[in-house]
Amino acid sequence: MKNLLLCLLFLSIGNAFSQGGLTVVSVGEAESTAEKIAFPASFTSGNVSKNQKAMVNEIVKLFISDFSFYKKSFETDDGKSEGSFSSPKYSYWTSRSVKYLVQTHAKPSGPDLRVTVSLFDISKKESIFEISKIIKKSVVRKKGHELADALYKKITGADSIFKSHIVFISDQSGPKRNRYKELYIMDFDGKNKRQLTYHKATVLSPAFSQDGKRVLYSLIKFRKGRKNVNLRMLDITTGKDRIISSRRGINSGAVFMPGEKEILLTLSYEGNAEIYSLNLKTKRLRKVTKHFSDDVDPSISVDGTMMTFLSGRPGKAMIYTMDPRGREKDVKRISYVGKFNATPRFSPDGSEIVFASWVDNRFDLFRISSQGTGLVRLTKDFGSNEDPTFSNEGQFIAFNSLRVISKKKALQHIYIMDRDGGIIKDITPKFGNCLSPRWSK
Amino acid sequence: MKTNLEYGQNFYGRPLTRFLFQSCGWHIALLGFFFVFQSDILSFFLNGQQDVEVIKSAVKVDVVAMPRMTLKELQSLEATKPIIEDSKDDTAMKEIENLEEKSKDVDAPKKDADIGEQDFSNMLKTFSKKKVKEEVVKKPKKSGLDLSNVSKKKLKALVQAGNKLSAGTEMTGDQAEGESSEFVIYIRRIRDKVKTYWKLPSFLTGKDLSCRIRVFISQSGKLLKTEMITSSGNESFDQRAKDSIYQAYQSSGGFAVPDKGYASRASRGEIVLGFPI
Repeated sequence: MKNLLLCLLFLSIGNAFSQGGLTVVSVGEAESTAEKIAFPASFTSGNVSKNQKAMVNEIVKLFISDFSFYKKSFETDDGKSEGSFSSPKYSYWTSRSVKYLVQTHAKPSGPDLRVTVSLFDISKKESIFEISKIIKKSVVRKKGHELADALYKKITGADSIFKSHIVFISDQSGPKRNRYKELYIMDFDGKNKRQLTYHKATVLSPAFSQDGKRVLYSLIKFRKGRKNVNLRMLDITTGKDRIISSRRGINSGAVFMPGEKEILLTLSYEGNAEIYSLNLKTKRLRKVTKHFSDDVDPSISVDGTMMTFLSGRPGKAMIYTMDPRGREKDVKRISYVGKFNATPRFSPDGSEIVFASWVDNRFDLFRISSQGTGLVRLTKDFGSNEDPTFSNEGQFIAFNSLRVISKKKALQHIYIMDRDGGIIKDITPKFGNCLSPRWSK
Repeated sequence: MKTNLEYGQNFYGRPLTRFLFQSCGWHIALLGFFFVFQSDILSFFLNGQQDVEVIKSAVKVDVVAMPRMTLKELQSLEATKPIIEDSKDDTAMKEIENLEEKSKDVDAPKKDADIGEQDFSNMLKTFSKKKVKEEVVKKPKKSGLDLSNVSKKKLKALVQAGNKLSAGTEMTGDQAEGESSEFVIYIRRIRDKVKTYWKLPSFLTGKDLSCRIRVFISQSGKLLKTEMITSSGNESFDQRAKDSIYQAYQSSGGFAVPDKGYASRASRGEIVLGFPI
């Protein structure tokens, strides 16, 4: 019976291909390659000052630096310009196996600079994209990242990380023996670091809003000799900072829900830690988890239909998922292994969860699908790695790595790796101990 | 009280003999049904039991330790494994075919035993292999390899390697998989050259993109033109697929000259390359 069915199926396939008299042969999966993209020195016209020349040089360098993050897609190439801005010497770039060429042109526009960038497809021998911006000196890097993002989008059709930011905590400030842990923000590449809070205290677990304009974070405060962890919200654009929740105990691990009218947070005022939903306007509180074990550290999928969190239900910290729109709705255990797990974070599309797990007396990072399948290890023999966060487009993961230098000294820096565990770089060298990175959406 | 039950009648007044005949008929039919489909029925129940075991083992997977190796380590292991690919050398390909032909008596039963449970692709393979055997009888005998010095184990490995070559990646118009007409061998040689240049940056991988390109080759082996017959919908992907054909053509100093027997088919564009299938 089975054979008969297979015969019919096979014959139907055979007919489909014999109708046209064609013979279809499969070439197979393509080999992965990084294509060469060249960023030669810029062209200038008009009376370009030394400072303006430095500005455009910085933009070209920034292009190279930005594209070098996507190692699996691009191999960056610099060097001298050949031909003119609008008519590059195609034969020269072909001989260098260059696929894309980015030519930059700068000319003065009052005190500012008009920068024009043209993208050429060398195999087609034509310009496929051109963009122009007037750039002030104070925003060179910001505008440079915007130009790089436009180029990336033209080539790949997808968003890049170039315009994204990372908030993190650093002990860069304060007296040597009692460092403060304050909130900072930087570009995705670790440049342009800025301090956001000045509490002279310890800041914990920050979280970006969807639009990247607000940050939720917790602050350890001592009131009447008693420690309390309060939740605060900072508006990055205005600098306005206010308390969101200061109930007894823990007010921490908060994340914005889609729409940003509600947040999910961990509260322990009733005894054990539970996850709640809090309406920012009405202050209405709704219990999302209800279990005698602690439930902490929520992370929400982009559409808000799934929440991953850490729970002590099985006797040790394990990762669970549930629908946060109800109470204890569709609770599902995701991780079954590891002595204990921590900081589960969703990928932007909600299909994967990256988390830290205690293995061999240190934390290492793992990735698993949100259905609990396809567990893979991402880090090993690379210090103790915690607090991962997916990039806005899901191709990278930022995390903090602790390296023990001596019995008394350890360094904690923020690194970026690709989603398969390929380390890209340390983005907080010489900036004290840095932890809890959170990538803007 | 009046009873209708008389000798030779049941409750409904039917003769008992008729009832007995009907019952016997049904039992014989059931028995016949069982004998005809006994393997399916048994395998259904056996598989049912195996399913239970599979669920048990799935639960066991949950309590194993965290993976010791990173994804990158696993990927590098995969990369260092010897890859058995379709031979680029025509003679080597023919040797493997000859091995399959010569070892057909050894091959088929042993392979089935090795594989154990037959899945869909294996059944297809078996099906197509049967056709090969029929074809072999018709074909003039090729001068194959001397197998007297080849151990059974080695032979089996080679045959399995041969089977890997035809793991369901090709679909030919007039022939089942495994059939190796001169025209198919010629297309495979074109495919092998193109495959060397078939490369994609990561932003184009993992998107389930696929295109099919018709290739027109002249009687002198010149690439006349290509024609996109099924687009992936992604211009960059399609372009790279097309580029790989032209790069293969240019860098190897043209394609091989097709034999007279199938030269007209090549020039009519009967060759279609699927990227990836």
